[in-house]
Parts: sequence; structure tokens; C-alpha cells
Amino acid sequence: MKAPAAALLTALCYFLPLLLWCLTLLWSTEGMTEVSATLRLGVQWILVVQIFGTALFIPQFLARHRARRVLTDLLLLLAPPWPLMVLAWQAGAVDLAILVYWQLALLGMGWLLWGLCRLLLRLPLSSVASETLLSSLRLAIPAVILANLQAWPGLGAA
Amino acid sequence: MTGGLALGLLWLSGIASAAPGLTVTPAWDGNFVPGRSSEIRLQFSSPAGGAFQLNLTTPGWVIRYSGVVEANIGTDLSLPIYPAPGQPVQIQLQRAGQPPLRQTLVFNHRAEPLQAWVVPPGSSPPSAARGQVPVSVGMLPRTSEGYGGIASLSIPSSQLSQLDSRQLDALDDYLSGCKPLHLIDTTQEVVDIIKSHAGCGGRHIEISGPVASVGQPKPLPGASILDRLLPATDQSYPRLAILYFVGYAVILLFGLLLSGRALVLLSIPVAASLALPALAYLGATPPRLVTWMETEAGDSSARYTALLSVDGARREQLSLPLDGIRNLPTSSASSSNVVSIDGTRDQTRQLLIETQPFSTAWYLFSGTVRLTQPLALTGSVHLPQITNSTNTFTPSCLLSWSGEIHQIPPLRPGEHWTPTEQSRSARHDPLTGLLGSRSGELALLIPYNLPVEAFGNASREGWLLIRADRS
Repeated sequence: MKAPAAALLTALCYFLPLLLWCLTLLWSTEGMTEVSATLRLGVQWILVVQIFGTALFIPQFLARHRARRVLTDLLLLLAPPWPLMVLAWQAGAVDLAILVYWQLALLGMGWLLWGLCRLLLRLPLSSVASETLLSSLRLAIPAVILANLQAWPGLGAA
Repeated sequence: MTGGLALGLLWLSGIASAAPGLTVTPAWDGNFVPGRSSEIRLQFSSPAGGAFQLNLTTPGWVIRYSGVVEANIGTDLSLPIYPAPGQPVQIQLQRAGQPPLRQTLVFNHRAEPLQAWVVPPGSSPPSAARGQVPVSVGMLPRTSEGYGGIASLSIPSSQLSQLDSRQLDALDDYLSGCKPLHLIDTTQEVVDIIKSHAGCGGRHIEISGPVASVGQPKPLPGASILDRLLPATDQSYPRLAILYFVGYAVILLFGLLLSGRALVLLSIPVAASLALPALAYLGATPPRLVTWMETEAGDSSARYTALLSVDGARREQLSLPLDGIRNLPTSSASSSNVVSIDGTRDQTRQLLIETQPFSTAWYLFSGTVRLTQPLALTGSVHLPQITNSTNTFTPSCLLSWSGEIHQIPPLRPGEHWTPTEQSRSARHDPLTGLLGSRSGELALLIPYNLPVEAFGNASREGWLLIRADRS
């Protein structure tokens, strides 16, 4: 499978079940409060999965040598839920500025991970040390972001 | 640094709270009944004149008034307000080229509706019992909302001539709403004039006995009952949104199968995100309004209650004109309750509603309107007769007679109709249920929309109930 298709397929694997779950709830809910809660929860889950998806996609990023190709992969990973996020914003469930911030932050995180990994691979480290450092980065950065997500006003706390 | 800022803010707030040149007087000495409207009177002037904006903010409502004041000429405004128990009313006056004036006002809430009586000038007010409020004639409300918490009003006949035109309009609305009025030291001529303006055949006008003996009008149906009579809607936006996302998922999958090019794959979610707001225009439905009016045969006014329901399809601020509506909503379920009053355009009122997809805001209005009854209900309870007293055909109506519903066919101008065995209807729906519960022995129900220009392009349904019996 071509690389862009692989990124989109990964995105669809997390997005389509969440979309189906949201639509099922929207079909059965009545009243603005329930709709808002459903959409907010859906967007929260999407962000959480996006964080881990981005981190787990690092091996594929490392196969790229040009930053532009990494950006394309990242966009394909993040883009599928955007219409649902627009709907959540329109319904007043989440703040548009926060959504934009998180998508930009995830793009930045992907690039940062790619850059750090490439730097590590160039260092004269043993293969075990390199692997350990890579694994730590892939887990630590998403964990820090995830910890902050719950405390973010208007999204995690709402 | 922080201390300096705090001192500066303190200095600023000190100026603002002093509010020189702004006099604020609450109606009924600041007494109000929670959930009922009241009134606030504001008097101020401006040395330079020009445009001004007034904001009255309570926990549930914001009233925005914009107007123009002439230089050094005092302005006297009376505005509606919904005070809340224990919460001050925030008043902000912004005049052109001058710093804003801010003032807060705390109302005293009373559990029971108030009994007001007008004390003539020069006479000392007797000691007021609980729930009673003595006022001077000049302090009577100038808006219909000002009488929101009043259960009864006693006024010496001699004081009626002291009322200005705005006070007379407000009192006229009070009387049309079948609210009790006790006329003191009056003449038959005055009573006849007052009764001609009153609803419910003038039965709520008392001239001899205590005002407490006068009954309150039967409350009109509430929001939960009117909700069942709202014009039907297909709730198109939620369905459209779900179909949209199902289609979007299918296109994404096809894109994945048919094309591996990143640009093509990326364009699908981007285009779907940009097209989503356009979906709102397809799924938008106009506001819906249902009105229930009640009057008695021969009356020239009717009490009404109207439920306005606004289904949101996109984020926007909807501005609905309230032309002809003299009372603000008595209750609502909305994320924002803002009323804008334009003092430069004959006190034009607008209801500003924040809408969002999937949201429904509703507002319940009540008040009185002047009208001409399109059908005359005559005869007796034993054999009623309906006459088309207009110059046009009347629509098909319902007659409730001795517990049974009869269907009245469309009538030509001047045509008479009497119920028969064949006209009896077996119809059972929320409308006939409501008719049966409100009609008494004999009543006529006519499809009749609220005769006002308000609510813009709202889809409307309305009914006028004309009772024959004085129950």
C-alpha cells in the first residue's frame, strides 16, 4: 500500500468507529445538552487517539527523508475527523480556537518526534540505547500532552 | 504595581458607582415577585447630547436600549426588567463622548403577588399590610411589564386623569388582561368607560366591596400544553447532518480505494469541513409560533399566550421583531435572553436569539390584544347560533357545546349556522382536548393568528376561543 493511503487507512481505523458511535448517539439523543455532551466526548476521544496515532506512526515517518512528506502523512492522519470537529464547534460543544490549537500542536509534535528520532539515529549510540530512547520519546511526549488535555479549559474540563 | 492597579480600579469604580446625573427608580418601591416582570424608571441628561445606550442586566435577561438625548434636556425612560431574588440589577449608561455610568439596584422579592393602591397627593398612606404597596399616581408603571407582579390595583377615580399616555396604555393592557381593579369614589360614567376597556366583560372591576373579593382570571395554557399544538416540523437538520456524515465516510473509503494521491485524499476532509456550514442553509427551518387567545362574546380584547420555538441549524444571532408585542416573554429556555429596544424608531423591540445546530430555544409570551371577533356567538346555551359578521368567508371552526365538539363549515359573509346532530365531531387530538378543558358550556374556537406583525417569517398557527358563558 502506498504511504499516503497507509496514513489515511490508519486515520480511518480510529475515526470511523468513533464517527459511528457519535452518529448513533446523535440519532437517539434529544435536546441540546445531550448533543453537546456527545459531540464534546467524541472530539475528546478523537484528540486522544490522534495523539497516540501520531506517536505510533513514527516508524513510518522515519522512512521519509523530506519534511514535506512527513507533513503530508501527518495531515492525512489528522484530517478525517475535521468535519466532525466543525460540527462540534458549530453546535457550541467545543471552542474552535482550542481545536485549531490541538491540530497545530499535533502537527508540531509529529515533526518534533521525527526530528528527534532522526537526530538520535545519527548519534553514536548502541542499537539498544537508540531503541530505548526512541521508545521513551514515543511514550513520554504523548503522555505529557494527554495529561494536559484533561486540564485544558473548554475541552477536557467541560 | 498590583496595588497601584487596584487603587486605580477603586478610583474608577468610585466614579462609576456615584453615577451623577442618573436617577434610577424601581416600580412598586422595589418590591417584585420572582418570575414576574417589573419596571425600572431612569432619568438622566447629557450636557452634549447625542446617542446613548442603556444596558439592564439581570441573571436571566439583558435589556439593551439605544436612543438619542438632546443636550441639557432630561430623558425619562421606563423599561421592563426581570429582577431575580438576591441578585442586583446592573445598569450601565453609555453616552457619546462620556465615560460610562454604572449603578446597581437590588429589588425586594415577595412570595405573593402584590396588592397596590394609589395614594392621592396630600393624603398620608395608611400602614401597609403584608403584600400591599402604596404608591403615588406618578409612580404607576409606564410599560405593560410593570404590572407583572401585581395581583390587584386600587385607585381613586380622581387620580385616573393624572395618568400620562404611557401609563394609560399600560393600565389598558392591565385591564384587558382581566386583572382586578378597585375604583374608589367613582361614578357610573367612569365605571362604564373602564369596563369598555376591560377584558372578561369587565367582571374584574370592583367599585364597592374589597378588592380581595375580585377573582383572578383563569391562567392561560402553559408552554407544555402549547408545545403539542406547534406547527409540525420535519427536524431536517439532525437528519441531514447524519446523512452527510454517512456520505462523507463512504467517499473517504472510495477515495482510499480508488486513489493513492495525497492531494486527492486530503481534499476530501477539507472540502467536507468547508461544506458543512452550507448544510445549515439546507436544514434551516423558520421559527414556529403557536398562539392561544381567549375572549368572551362581545369583548373587544383578548388575552393570549404564545409559544415561539426556534430550531437552530447554524451559529448565528437571529433577530426577531416584536412589533405589537407589549410584553416580554414570561418564561424561556434559551442560552441567551436579550431584548433590544430602539428608542429612535418608536421603541421598536427585537428579540436576539443565539442559535446553534441541534439547539431549540423557546419563549412564552402572554399579553392582550385588541381584535374584532370574526364570528358572532349568539343565542342561548340551549340553542347557540353562529353568525359570520365579517365581509369574507370564515375558515372551518369548532364549537364546544355541552361537552360535545361540533364542526362548523366555512361560512359566507352574514351566514348563520346552528349545530345539528350531523355536525357533531368525533375528533380527538390535543386541540379538541384543550378546547374541551377551557370552553365551559359553550365556546367557539376559530383558527386565528395573533394580529401583530411580530416574529418575522415564523410559521404560525393560532386559535381564538370565544366563550359565551361568563364562567
